[in-house]
Amino acid sequence: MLLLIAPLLAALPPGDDDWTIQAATVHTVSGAPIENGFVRVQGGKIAAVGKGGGGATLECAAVTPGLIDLALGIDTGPLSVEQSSETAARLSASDGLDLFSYRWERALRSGITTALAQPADYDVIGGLGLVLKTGGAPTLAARLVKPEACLRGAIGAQPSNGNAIPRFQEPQTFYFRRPTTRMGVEWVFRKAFHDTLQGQGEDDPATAADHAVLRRVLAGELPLVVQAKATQDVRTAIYLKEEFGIPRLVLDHAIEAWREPELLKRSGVAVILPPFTADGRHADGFVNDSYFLPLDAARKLHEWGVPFALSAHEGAGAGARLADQAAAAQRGGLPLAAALEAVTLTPARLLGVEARVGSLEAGKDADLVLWNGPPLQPTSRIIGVLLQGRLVLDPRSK
Amino acid sequence: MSARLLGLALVAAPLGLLAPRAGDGPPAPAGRGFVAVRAGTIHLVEDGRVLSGATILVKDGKIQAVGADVALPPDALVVDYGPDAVIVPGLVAAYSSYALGFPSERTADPTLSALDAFDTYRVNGDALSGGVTSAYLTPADNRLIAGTAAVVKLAGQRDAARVLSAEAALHGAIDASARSTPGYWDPPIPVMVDVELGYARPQLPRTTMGAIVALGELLDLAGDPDDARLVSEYGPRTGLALARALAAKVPLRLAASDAEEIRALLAFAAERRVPLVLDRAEGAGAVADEIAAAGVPVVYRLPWVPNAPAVDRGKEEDARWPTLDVPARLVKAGARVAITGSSPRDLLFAARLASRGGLEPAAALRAITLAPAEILGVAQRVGSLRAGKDADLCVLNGDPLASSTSVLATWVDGEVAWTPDRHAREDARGSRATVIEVEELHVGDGEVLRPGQLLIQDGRIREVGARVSHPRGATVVRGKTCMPGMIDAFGHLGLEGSRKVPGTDFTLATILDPGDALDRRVARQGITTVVLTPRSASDSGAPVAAYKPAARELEHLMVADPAALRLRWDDPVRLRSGQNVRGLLAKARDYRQKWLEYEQAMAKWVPPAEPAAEPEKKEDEKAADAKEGQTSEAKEEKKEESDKKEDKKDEKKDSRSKKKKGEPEELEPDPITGLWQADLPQPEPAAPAKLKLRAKLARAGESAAVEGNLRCDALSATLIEFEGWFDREARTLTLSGVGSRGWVELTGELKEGKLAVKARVDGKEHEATLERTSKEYVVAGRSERGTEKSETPKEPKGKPREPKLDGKLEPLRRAMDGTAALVVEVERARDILDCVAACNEAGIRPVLYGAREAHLVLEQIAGKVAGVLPASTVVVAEAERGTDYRVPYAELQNAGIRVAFPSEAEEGAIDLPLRAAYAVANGMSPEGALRALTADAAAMLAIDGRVGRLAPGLDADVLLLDGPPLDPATSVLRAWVAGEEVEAH
Amino acid sequence: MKRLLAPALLLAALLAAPLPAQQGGRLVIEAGRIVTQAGPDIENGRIVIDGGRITAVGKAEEVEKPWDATVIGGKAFVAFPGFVEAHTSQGMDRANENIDVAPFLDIRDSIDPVAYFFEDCLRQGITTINVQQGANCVVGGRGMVVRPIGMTVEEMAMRPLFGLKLSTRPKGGKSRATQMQALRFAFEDLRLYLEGLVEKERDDAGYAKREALFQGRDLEAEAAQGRAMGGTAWKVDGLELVPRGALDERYAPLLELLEGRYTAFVHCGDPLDVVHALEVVRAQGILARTVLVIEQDCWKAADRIAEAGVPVILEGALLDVQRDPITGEEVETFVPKVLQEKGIRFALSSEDPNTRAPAYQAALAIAHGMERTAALDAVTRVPAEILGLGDEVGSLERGKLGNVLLCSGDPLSVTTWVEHVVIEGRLVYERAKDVRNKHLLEGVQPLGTAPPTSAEAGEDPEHEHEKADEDAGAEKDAGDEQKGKDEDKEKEDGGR
Repeated sequence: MLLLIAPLLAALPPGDDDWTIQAATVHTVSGAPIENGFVRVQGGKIAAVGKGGGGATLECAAVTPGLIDLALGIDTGPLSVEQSSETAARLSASDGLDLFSYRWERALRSGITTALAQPADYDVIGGLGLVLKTGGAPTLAARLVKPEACLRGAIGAQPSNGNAIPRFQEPQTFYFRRPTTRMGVEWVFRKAFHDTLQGQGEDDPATAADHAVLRRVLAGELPLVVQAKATQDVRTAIYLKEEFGIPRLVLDHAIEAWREPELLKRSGVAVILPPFTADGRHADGFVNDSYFLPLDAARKLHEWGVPFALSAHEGAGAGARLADQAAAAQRGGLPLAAALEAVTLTPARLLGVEARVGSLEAGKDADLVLWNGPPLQPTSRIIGVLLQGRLVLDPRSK
Repeated sequence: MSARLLGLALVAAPLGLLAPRAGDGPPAPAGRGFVAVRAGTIHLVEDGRVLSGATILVKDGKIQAVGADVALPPDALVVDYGPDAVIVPGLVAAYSSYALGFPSERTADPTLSALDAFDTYRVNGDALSGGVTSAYLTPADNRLIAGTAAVVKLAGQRDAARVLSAEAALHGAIDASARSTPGYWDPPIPVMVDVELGYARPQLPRTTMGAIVALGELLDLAGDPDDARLVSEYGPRTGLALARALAAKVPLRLAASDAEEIRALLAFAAERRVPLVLDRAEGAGAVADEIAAAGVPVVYRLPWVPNAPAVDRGKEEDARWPTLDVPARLVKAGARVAITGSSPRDLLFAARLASRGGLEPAAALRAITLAPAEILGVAQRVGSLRAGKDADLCVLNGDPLASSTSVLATWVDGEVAWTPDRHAREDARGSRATVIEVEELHVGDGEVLRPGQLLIQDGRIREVGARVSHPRGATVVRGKTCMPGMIDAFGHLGLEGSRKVPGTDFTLATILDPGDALDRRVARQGITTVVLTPRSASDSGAPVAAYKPAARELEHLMVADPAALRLRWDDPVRLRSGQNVRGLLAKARDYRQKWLEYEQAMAKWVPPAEPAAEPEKKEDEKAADAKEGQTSEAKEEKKEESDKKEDKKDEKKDSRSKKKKGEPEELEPDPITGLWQADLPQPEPAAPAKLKLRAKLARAGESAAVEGNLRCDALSATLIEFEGWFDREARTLTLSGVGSRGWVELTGELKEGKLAVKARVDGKEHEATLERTSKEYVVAGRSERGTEKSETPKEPKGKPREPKLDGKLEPLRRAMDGTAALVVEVERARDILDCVAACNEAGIRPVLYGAREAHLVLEQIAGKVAGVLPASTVVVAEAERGTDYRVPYAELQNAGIRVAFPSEAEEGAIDLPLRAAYAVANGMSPEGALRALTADAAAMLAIDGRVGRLAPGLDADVLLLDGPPLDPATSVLRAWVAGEEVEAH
Repeated sequence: MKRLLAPALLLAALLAAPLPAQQGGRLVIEAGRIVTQAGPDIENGRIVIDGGRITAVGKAEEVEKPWDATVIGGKAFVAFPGFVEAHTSQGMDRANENIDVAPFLDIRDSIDPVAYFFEDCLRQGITTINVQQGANCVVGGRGMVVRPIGMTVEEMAMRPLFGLKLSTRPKGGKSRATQMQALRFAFEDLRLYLEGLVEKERDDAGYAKREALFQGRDLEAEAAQGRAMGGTAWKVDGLELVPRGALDERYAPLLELLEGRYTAFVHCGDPLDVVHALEVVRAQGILARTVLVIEQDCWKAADRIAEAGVPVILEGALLDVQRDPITGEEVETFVPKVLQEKGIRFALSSEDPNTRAPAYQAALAIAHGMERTAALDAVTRVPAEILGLGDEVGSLERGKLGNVLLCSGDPLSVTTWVEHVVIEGRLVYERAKDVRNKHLLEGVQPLGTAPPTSAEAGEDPEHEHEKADEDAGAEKDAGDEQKGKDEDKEKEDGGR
């Protein structure tokens, strides 16, 4: 019966989801900004982008593509950490996602229309991440952009932290997880890839499944997103990339990547920057040391030609959101265009979803952000958000 | 009516504008004017009176009048919660922890004020959701005199306006809880700059005696605030504060658990002549008489805490386990009792629980409304419904003390402070539930529940049984009988008079749209599902669809389309009878075979990983386009051959398909044809009415005649058939037709794709700008959607090619799979047998339509047909049988063959129940007739997965009757379709 | 941490040492645009500061430049009045005293002149700061208004013993009720104590005289001492008898508060606290000298604030995100907008680390629909008025203190930096010499590692070009006297 109703729904008057947005400046990101241009939205897609144009149904000072955050943090939560093994490549974040969380709505309000959800980074190889829309019907089917977008890994202290060393006394925990050191983490990492190449232990279906995923990584089908905060983590990650020839490596939360210009240039990795802090410091809960992120880190990466994305880690308050990170990056000397790209097109490219999102081009999803002034400036604010043509934040409502 | 207002009011009221009674002039601004609140039952509590069908008149937050015969001012806004709702006074919680804070380090600290700690800016949703509107604020616990308590409203104005009593009592305890006072140091060691050095001393009390002594000393201190010893004992400020409080006649409210403690307190109060209120009083049962004699009121706190781990009550022989019959015994003894739970939210439940031991409902209700109000000294404002008191109401969906009753709305100061509807989120999770409770519930398949209950949620039936769950805030409806919505097994409702004969692959869905006033009227009569078919059929047959006349949303509108294929067996030339049916069946068999093969192939085929890289995709698209080209062409041919009769249509289609090959917008040859829509603004607060204009230009590319129709409930209750003219130069459109309100003239002007329309109906001008939302004219013409549909496929290589979808054979194929029905029009006995045989051979059990001579072959066809739709003659008189009349319906049914009632008319559908009643009057079994109208009809047409019975999972199409079904004297009181009530119009 | 300390000291030293050229001398500031915050902006303007105060503001051609003045600035700069921080508890060593009622405390004992906070204030362009005790108190100590320069508190002080901190937000370990109890008792105790004193004076006057004679003390002298402490007689009725000297220092400050000597800064955490605060200050008759420091959702009580007519200082996030307990929906409220609509005078504050910089806060306000001047007033004029410094700071006008910022562009733009800060005619901050800022911006290379190559860490180009401009500007201004030199310089410039 549904089969027959579907076309009916399609035949519904689409009127309410068709828009013509008129803006003083249309930032297409893919191309040069268009002065007083328009974006026409039809059936959830961008029908046309151009200059002039009339019959606007929405007007604003500037319109940009919907923002994309690769570290939204609405993952499966720190509590759902796979305990059975440190390499859980076969797992997917999709199975543990809470689509009813109010945090999605929050992200949407702050202009983030597409996000990467990943397993929590307490496992060395945590599993598959997926790209999805931050709004729409709260079902995976409705929001999914790309089911298997990347493999999540972590280098450094985090995975080993809290793992108990076996003691000869009654255990507080059932599991004695390893590794318990940084070296251990790297070892697990290398073992996983080594075994994959050797095809070792594949009689165990789980391992086989893991290796299947790792092979896709080695084949460049999947990007490997690795949490690497400190300089040493960055180095380790890049050495691993070069040792195993991992084609697509993305350094997540890469606070101190800026210290390694030569390595970054050489290895052609991409970088996800954490939010900027007032004093540049990022306390690490596991090592009593704080890493340093200079205000111009983004500018440096930009000048070195290292592809990078900015992230807000779900900063909720005014001044901590993704748009504000892009503003901060500009304060560090990053040109507006680059800042905008770092929160739209670049992240889309890193996960191979640029065909659908990331810029304002006819045929792409109609994910739009409407501004009441020049975008990514503290003096202007997001007044409207369209998600696949649906008006989720209405600029007309006060 | 009532239900509609209910809906409106609950949504509107929180915003301050309540729904006006139909035609009662403009709504008054919030709070200002009169508001009349109605419900089936109203408990005044004041002198125990209960009114039914009464009205509460409210103005400026106060009750102006209560009663059955209240004269309503003309501008009064009426909020009617319906005959099944019950209104009681806003509940008064005699205990709450909203202000509960750290206790002072002194054993007695009257200066600690609960009011300081009560946040008037906090929304007390929990209490309001429990119907509680006023609450006693406990300052702190675990002290002899913990502080000064207050009584406040839980919603309404802020700050001072919310305070009912700033000094309601000196709150304290003499039971074990008061004995944990820390040894009090004056000052804490080491000495600090802001307090001098002193010495440590334990404080009273550590025993009950100690407590009584301490109380005595405190009263002395109040008498002489400068008494050095007592001051050093109880602190410098205690005496003055106490003196002030006692002078102001503030009562001592002291918690005492055991009988001994209570006795001690009674004695103390009597001796020192201080006003006393007993708190907690778990053991009061034993000393009920003494309490009553002393005239001391009791605030009984239930010794059971929900949402908490159970407590160990003690293992010893003489361990005191709390009994819950205390209030009952106190009331019997003649004491004043207020009942409190651990949290205001559960006050109703607490009252229910406390009415163990024979406390009758009236008393229990009083114990959570008026009694606490009196004990807390705020009865002049709250606690009962009386002119002059605050308009605090608790609206319930049933008897206040029934176990499953919950709150529909909570009013404070004449404004709605809480309703369950506010939970409704955008994604419509947890939509409002409806429970129907009746003496007699007819499931439809013959089963009857007496009594029966039904839970409706999200448009579906969730539960059916003698007692079903009542979700909080559910609307409860009570009545005599309910049955499933009736099914018109074969009618023309929805054709809107059209006599055209569309091909069998035409989806009737396209000509229907929800919310038509006329359709709603039919549904209101009890016909909730109509099996729609054109008036006549071509040789290739006619489509049959099942839809719900009253559905509001499109997704609820269609039950099945196509539901069945309708064929004619008989032929004027007998020899040719059944030929084309046989032919079609044969075709259908091959067609089905193709599909089966395809499905098997698909089952085997493994899809390749999705193409990540772009370029390939490009190719794919090209490929797809190419393929698509072919297919669509193929379709064109297919159509031509099949539509010889409808050649002129073909021309039109060609011209249109040419047009489709995009010429620039402005020079569009046919700017008129299609569906035009707009919202027609209506006088507040009614929502704007939808206006839908369907028009067709006779000749594209030039000024030409225009035909069409317009539906707009605001302009006409019926569909307006239009004729007129389109002037291409002036770009003007002039149409005219007749609606329910007489002659309608419509003039429109075309401006960049939009149509600015003026419509004149009985003198009134209406204006609207229409937008064209579709370029099809589909009233009974062939829809263009076929070609559009084929734009979807974009398959990777290697995927098995899907067989072409043949709209004409599809229904047959599905009939063979048993997911659709095949209705064959056949009359004579011989033909019936042949027809049945042919169909069975093809694996189909047909539905016979007409079947005049079925009674001759009952045995032969029993079990071989899905059912029979007999002709409209219920009672057949035959000369040779004299007065021995036949009732085909009965005969068939008795032979174990399903029958159903076809109306073969549009609005005539409403006659069906009567026809059934008539059949019953002539000997058909009433239960069987009911089945024929519901379950059997659904079953034979293969729509029993959606409708036909009152069973969990099925659509909630329910009728509420005032008597036994199919009794001519019985009428339909209310009707629900897909869980939504169909309002009378 | 360690690696950041050294430059800190270095910078502090740099701040402390007043530039020789400006001691007592005159300073001329030139700017492409002067935002005076008092009337229209001045294109191509000039500010003359003499003896720490502004003696002239206007168009360059109209304002005559003293011959001996030092000239800074240039066309590329935008001059802006120094920001005013109306209330903060930073820059001290431990902001909270755990004694409930401690009006006798004095912030001066706690202020740390080399605190990172003050250094950062310069970076943000905050030139006037009101430091008060932390909010975790019932009655706190007295605060002071300082300028973020100087190695000693004395150097920093603008208004010593300024303002007294109260709080209606429950102190740690207190409930709302006990907090209010304690607050009321504080004043009650004072009254009891004073009454006692008066009694004593009445009864024991004779005895005291004899006693004094016996001890050889001089009562007149004591009285004088009393007057010396407070000058005139008490303004609170019935206390004329009590010499100020005889008053216990624990109570004196509170009494002075009642007399209206201090502004009361009352901290409110919730709307309810606002109601309580107003109740208390009304009861004590100090409504007129009250400023509310509000947080979170205090805006809900805006009507009460408006009707009381007290100014407020907005601490904490400007955007209040709340969850409706009934619908469960999240609601965002931009607080300044609400206050503005209710007609409440408010100043923004830089407590919230996310929105530290006043300029940034003003920008946010504009983003949410406030008009530019109003937004900027909230970080300049209004706080100045709240601190009673209305005619001293907050705008660039003749006679006001010479607190001027030279910004690299529109002060509200995200790419703009505060390049120079002038406080009372002294150039106290130059971004070019700000080591820490360089580190914040470009990062610190660990010791021993090679310094970043020019490509990576070279000063960002626009800044470069500003410096050029600045020099150029300076040359032009230096004007008539040293033409010769100028020509050479110009050649050089051309050469660049």
